[in-house]
Amino acid sequence: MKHEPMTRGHSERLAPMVAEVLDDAKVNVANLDGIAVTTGPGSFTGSRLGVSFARGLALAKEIPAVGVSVFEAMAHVFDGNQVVVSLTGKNGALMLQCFERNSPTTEPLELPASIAWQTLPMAGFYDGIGTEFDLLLSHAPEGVKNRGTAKECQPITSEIIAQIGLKRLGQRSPLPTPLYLRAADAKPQAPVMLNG
Amino acid sequence: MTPLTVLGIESSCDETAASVVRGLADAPPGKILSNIVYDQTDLHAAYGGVVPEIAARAHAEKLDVAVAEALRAAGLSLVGVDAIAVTAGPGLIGGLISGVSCAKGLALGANKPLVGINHLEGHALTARLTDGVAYPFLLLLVSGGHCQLLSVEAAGVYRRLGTTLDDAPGEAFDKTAKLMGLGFPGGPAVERKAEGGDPARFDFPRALLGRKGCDFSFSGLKTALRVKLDGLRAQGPVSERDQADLCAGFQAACVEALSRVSGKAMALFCESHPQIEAPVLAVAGGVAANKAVRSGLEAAARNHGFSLVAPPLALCTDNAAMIAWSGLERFARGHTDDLSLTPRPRWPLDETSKPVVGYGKRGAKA
Repeated sequence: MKHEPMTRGHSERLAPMVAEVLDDAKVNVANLDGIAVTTGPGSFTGSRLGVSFARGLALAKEIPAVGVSVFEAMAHVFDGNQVVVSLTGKNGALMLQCFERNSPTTEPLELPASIAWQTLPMAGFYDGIGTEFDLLLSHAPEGVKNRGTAKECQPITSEIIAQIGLKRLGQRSPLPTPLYLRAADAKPQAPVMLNG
Repeated sequence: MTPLTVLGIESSCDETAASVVRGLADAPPGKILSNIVYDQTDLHAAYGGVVPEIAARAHAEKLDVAVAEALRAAGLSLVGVDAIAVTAGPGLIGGLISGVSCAKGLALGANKPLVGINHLEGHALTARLTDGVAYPFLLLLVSGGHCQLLSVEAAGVYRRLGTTLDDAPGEAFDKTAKLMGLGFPGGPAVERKAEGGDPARFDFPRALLGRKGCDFSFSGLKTALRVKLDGLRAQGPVSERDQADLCAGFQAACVEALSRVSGKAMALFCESHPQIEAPVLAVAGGVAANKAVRSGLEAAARNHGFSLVAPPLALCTDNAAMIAWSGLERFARGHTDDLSLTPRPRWPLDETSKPVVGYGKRGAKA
């Protein structure tokens, strides 16, 4: 496993790093059975380049590419009964998804903190992982605030992504696509009326 | 000599494309075994122009699909390919990153050499791919993002004779269409509207024609159109006739600027290459699809004793066959890139020429 924190430069480093990791593990690329990749949410460009690389490699090798979201990875390592994963969104919003054991019970969403609690399936007692559970809980109605506790979750590494990929190899997964949770920031053009 | 077979990948703007080309670098033309283009026009139409984030998203989900289809259409697997060529710039960085990443995955997975290609070189060498044009030749590259006159001296050796100082004509066409609500892409829409219009009714500027050199400018033309349109709107509804005349006048100004500056470049090219008996002006880029532009350039070429080589429409606009061919020529010369290949949003073909505008951290815009 290799890990290099960087805010830019993924594009240059990712492919050489994969080659180095294969070398270190003494695995020939010809012997790979699959490739797993994080799909996000996170940097749009980072998600895209990882997904594009994985899909290229998978096509060349005719092996499956497995996409794993940050939510899925965190729920997987925490492995609790009723889990809500909350991450920091844009402009004070939250990104969140709920899981029961390892299975998602809601779709991943980005939404304002004030209304996020309402989207949770109310049954059960929540273990909250991720960066924003306290914020989420602060917007919960009185009386249900006692229904969740913030818990620690170990950081997500490429090793964890690979483990999840290994588990899913037998399943027929769809091709990985980046998980944005947000539409592109663009406004359609207003209609132009020239004839009156 | 054994022919080379190269896979090309292109994603620098709003077309996701993959193609397989076979041939000999020293004996063009090449043979296009497949040429897949997924065009994103529908995704961008509502915005009146290409939205970079929307384009990047579409590329990331379509690149490998395009590659698989190009291989299938060529009846090949990657085993039968000698190298993988990919556009590494210039262009919209989101698409470039996805394309280069996908190509790296393919190269690593199939253990094939990777060749990063300058998108402009792809356009420049299209005339070799399609018509087997020999070096040296003169090139007019005219698209939505570029407007340059280049002397293509030899393989990989470019001398820039002139460039736009501001906008590319394709951009001006798109903006004209946007201002008039004609739809996107603007080139064909403005061309249709201009049919039957009177090009002489409105007076549009032809910038820089009196100056020495072969530079272009189209931003003043855009402004002129907006001012005239606003003037008409202030007086009431803008009739179909007004719209047709505006488009015809605008298009005529573009055609005249392109043909007259190309004429100056042809004279310069002949001075520096007196030994060439049958000089060629090759034209590439989406604006070369415009019929008025083509006939204007044909006339200019005839006047200067040049023959005009304009590739078929599908190879004027962005495609991956031209990237595969450029990759084939580069690979034949022993050029490959390693897995750290870095996409470049800005990447002038002639790196010795002084940048005329927009020189920043990322390099010269033109």
